[in-house]
Amino acid sequence: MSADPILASVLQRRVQAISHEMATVLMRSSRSPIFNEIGDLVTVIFDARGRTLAQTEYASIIANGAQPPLARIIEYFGDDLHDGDVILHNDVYSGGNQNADVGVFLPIFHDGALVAWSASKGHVADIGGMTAGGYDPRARDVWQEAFRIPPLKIHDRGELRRDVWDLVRANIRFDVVSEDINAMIGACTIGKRRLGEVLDRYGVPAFDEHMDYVIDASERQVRAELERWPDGTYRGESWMVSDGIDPTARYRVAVAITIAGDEITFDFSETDDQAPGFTNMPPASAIGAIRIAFLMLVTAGGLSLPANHGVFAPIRTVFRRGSLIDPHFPASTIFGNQMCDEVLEAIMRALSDVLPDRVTAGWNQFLCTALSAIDPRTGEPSVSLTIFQRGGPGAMRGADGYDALGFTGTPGSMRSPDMEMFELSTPHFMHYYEYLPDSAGAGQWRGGYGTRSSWSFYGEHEAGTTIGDDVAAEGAEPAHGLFGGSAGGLNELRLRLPDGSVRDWGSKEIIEQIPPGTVCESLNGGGGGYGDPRLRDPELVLAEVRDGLLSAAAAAAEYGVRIGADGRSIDHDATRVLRAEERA
Amino acid sequence: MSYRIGIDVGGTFTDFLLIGEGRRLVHKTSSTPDDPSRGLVVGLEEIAAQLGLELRAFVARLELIVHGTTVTTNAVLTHRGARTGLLVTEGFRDVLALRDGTREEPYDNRLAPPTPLVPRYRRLPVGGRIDYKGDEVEPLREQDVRDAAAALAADEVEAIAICFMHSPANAEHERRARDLVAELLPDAYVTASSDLLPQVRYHDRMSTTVLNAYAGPIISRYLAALTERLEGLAFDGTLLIMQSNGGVATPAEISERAALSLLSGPASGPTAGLWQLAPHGLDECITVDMGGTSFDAALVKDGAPLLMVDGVVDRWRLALPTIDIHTIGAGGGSIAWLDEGGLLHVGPQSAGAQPGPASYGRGGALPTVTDADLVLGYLGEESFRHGGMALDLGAARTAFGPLAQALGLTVEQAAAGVYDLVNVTMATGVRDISIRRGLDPRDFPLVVAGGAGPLHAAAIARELDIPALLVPRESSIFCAAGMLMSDFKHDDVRAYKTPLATADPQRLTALLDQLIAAGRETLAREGVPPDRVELQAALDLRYVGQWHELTVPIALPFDAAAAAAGFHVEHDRLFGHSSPEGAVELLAVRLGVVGRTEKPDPTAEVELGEGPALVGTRPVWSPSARTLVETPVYDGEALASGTTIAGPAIVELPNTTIVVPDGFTLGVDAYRALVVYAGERGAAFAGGLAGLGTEVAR
Repeated sequence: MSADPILASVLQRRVQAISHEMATVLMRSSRSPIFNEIGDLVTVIFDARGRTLAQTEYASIIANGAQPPLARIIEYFGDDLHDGDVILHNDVYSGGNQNADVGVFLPIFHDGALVAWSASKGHVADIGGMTAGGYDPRARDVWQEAFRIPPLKIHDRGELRRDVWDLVRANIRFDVVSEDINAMIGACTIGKRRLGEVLDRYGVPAFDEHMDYVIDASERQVRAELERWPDGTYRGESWMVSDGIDPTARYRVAVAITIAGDEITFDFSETDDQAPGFTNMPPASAIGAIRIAFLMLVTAGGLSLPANHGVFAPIRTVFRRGSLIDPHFPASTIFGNQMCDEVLEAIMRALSDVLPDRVTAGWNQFLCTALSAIDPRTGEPSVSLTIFQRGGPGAMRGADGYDALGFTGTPGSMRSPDMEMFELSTPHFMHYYEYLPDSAGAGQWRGGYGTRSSWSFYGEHEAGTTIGDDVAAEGAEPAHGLFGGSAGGLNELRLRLPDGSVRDWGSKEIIEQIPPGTVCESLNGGGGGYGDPRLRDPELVLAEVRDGLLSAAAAAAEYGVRIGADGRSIDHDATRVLRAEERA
Repeated sequence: MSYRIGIDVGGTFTDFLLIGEGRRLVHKTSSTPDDPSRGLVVGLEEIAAQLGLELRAFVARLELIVHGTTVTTNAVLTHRGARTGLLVTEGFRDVLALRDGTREEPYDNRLAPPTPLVPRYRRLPVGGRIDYKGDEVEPLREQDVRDAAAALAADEVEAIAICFMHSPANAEHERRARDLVAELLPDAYVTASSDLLPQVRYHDRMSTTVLNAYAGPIISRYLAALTERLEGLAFDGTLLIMQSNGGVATPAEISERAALSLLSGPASGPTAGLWQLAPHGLDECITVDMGGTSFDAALVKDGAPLLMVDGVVDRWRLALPTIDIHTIGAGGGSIAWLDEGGLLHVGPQSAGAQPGPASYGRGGALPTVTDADLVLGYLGEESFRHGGMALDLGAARTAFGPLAQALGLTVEQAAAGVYDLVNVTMATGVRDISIRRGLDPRDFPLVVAGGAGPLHAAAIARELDIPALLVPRESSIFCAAGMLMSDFKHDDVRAYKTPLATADPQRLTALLDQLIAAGRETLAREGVPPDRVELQAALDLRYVGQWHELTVPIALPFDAAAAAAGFHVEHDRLFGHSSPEGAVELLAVRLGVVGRTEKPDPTAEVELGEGPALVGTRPVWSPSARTLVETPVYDGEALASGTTIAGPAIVELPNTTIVVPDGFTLGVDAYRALVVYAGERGAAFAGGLAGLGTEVAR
């Protein structure tokens, strides 16, 4: 029997719908805000060999980090896998991307044979270790960061292993985490049930054959796209500033990208040696970051692809053990996901000259805080990520950067908490949250605007850890402009304490016992511009001046557009003169 | 005074269903988008002519007009709404534009954000702050309101939205600002968020309030013009407008709460479905409506359409309760294509009405779903004769040539693939609306509408294991029919955040009394007698720590333990687990008031058919034989109640064609709706329908 391309298309949609249904269930039934308000999660259907068949992703960096642990799980358990098993995993030294991103994996059996897996993975509110929530720059090894969970059966043939489960629960601070893990198991069970219905209808051989066809089809499509990319080796680099111990330490992330026919290799071996603190990136996380950059590049080429194994089959990755990416055991790594910014930046820089229509200018590197406190209103612990602190992405040919999109690792896929809900659900009071004027790098296409935000703390025993980069005081450089576009902006974060003193907050710094009444002020910079700003339509420049996003002075200096005295018109004569002068 | 008429103004056609004086009259006329009330009056003229009446004499005999309109929807989609200003809490000027922080296509760096309906320079900050408890942190800076009003007046703004942080907890600042603005700008259309939607979530409430202000002057002007036209024609009956929540309201109410008209177009569909089933004693169904460019699915449970509070209009959140209609971009015009890897896709690109499918012969060259239906014989070249158009089978086959060649298939096989694929896509949409609610689609019959719906419905039902579907006679003007069956309905909400266990029963009762009094007052203004009013109270509840709440109906008077028990049950049904020992939190109190209207009797005024009418045969695709097989074609108009026809068969009606696949049976119920069913469960369902209880030999 040969594969029927139409049945393949039909099955692809069915499997995609199953992962979507799993995500719907998980979003609606989980307990912690990080899951259900922000959506820091992913659901996946894999085949028996652990190849991705379909996934629904809210947090891209995790989405692409669910597959490597499964490979380890399959290897570890071998034949000892049974219908009704539920496997839990987080360990970055057995395929995990971040210890706080916990995965649940269910083997799916049909007529006694293992045929597929359903999986869900999400960022939990706590996973043990020395600090609630996990982010702590003082960690020097993996045990200080997390309770390590290598492949672990918590259900065996349909039976909960109560002693094992209680061991896990005993090592996690918040009960809500076990509720969230239960919700993940529920989502995977839905996936298992739905896939079972598909297998009942078509049988395993037809299912396998047609999913192979789907994977091959995606792979062919990506290879055809890669053929259009010029062969050669291209180098790019970016810098991480501060390792959480020395705020001025600089680490180079370097990539050599080799395009050869329909294959592409991302070689990060020349990246600097690993850091002593938590700023190390597990390979699963780095592969996730590479895939995000790759998907952006192929999407810019006009392709719309389902995320399955075939899409990534033409990609090879090379890391050097002991470098910032792929550190030696037992280095701490919980900051690793954040380094998606550096990986993406290095890749975009490397390909700027050969794929000028597909790359973006530099993105402002993300900076937000992870906060934990006792909420005095309830006496209960409260953990939150202030991911409304968002910078701007870089512009590309034909498009301005998307304002306040934030972190490259979740490019517009993670929701900001609503301002009222943030105040209702966490012990904080917001003072402002708006676009940051004059933050976008100028260009024919400008960078995305960043934001300014401020809030007061009134939690008890409140502690905050910053997770980010691009802090001005640490000597970071702003997001780069491309082809005549200007650079974007940097981040600034400070605390005004009740005693009147002011304290700068670094990019990877924990501050404990923040006194109630302290005010945090955050500026998150914009992205880099693309192309000569003097080619930008003056009407677009005027609109931003009128909106209070761009100063008239910057309009003249950066764009060569003279705004009339009324602030709502263009002085065309003066603009002509200004633009002619600067271009001469 | 004896006619009632439902009028559904769509983008292409305006549909009418007239009932009264022993007649049911279906009519369609072309819409006039520049001034929709003109096309509406043209249609009335045409109907009057059919009745042999002068227009004025006809209009004078209309006792009820129920009208669904897309004027506000179109205004939002084309950015031609009112020039609108927005007052926000100082420091939160960009909450509207920032939305929830996501973009629809994460990896598409060229995707632009939606242009805010109110530009930043008209989003003006006002000092003053209320905290989450409703306590005043900083008094309202009235001078800011005055300055903003002056600036907006200078900018010739027609409408002003006011949305301050935590106004649901304390609306004083918003009310004061609203009164000041009304005083300073007496002609402006003003919406304060706490009047429209007093519930938490600053962005959702702000977006909804802005939509209301942006649409307000548009619908007000339109309804004023329409009322004037009708009054000029001596109309002395009642004019009601269809709302997004599935109920009707008077023009005065809709003018105040304009956002309620934004998703009103398809909102009467579920009610129409319900009405089809009601005479058989059924009160649950899934309605599906497939037209040229889109497919809508909605669910009716326990006699009422399901509502949602997370609707979206043109990428902007609409948080007012609206009928939960799942729309996907699949219709007769959807284009089939192969990607570079060899996978087949249908849509989202559509050939639309121009150039339309290749078989329309208007210059379309790409293969569409309608072309597939024609190639497969599901449609005949004469199927669209009522619309004055012949379909071109040769053109459809030619359009499928390249696709078939690339797939290594015959033209028919390729068309069958497109048919299967679009059915799976639509079935996924149906599945989505049910699983989101923890419901199993197999438990619901399908009620099928839209010109293309009955061509695909049996295949969708098979895909979902749904045993039966029903095609109403008025399938093609389904929504106009639903409008005549709709009740008055108004939803309101009050925020009250507290642990449910310690909710103050007095405060809760006071809130409910407030809501009940306001609801009764609205219905009284609309002329609904008190004995026709029904109350539907509900609470928004969640487990402490959850971010999403469930709306759980409650009985009055309020009982906290019963409410909590109801929540645990609902949570378990939706998500497969509950924590009866978990602490439950109350977020808001909701009340729906319903004013029952008098409805036409669906069982009356039915003209009986003349018995089976085999009109011929044509080659039709057989999925089992994988080739075209000569198949009987029936004239559906001639089928009498009680008739059954075994598939495969084609049944043609003036505006649609029903495909009865092999294994399915078509029957005609007592009211001449067409029922298609399969298997034991299907036969049991059909056996329970009036008029189909006994098998009638062909």
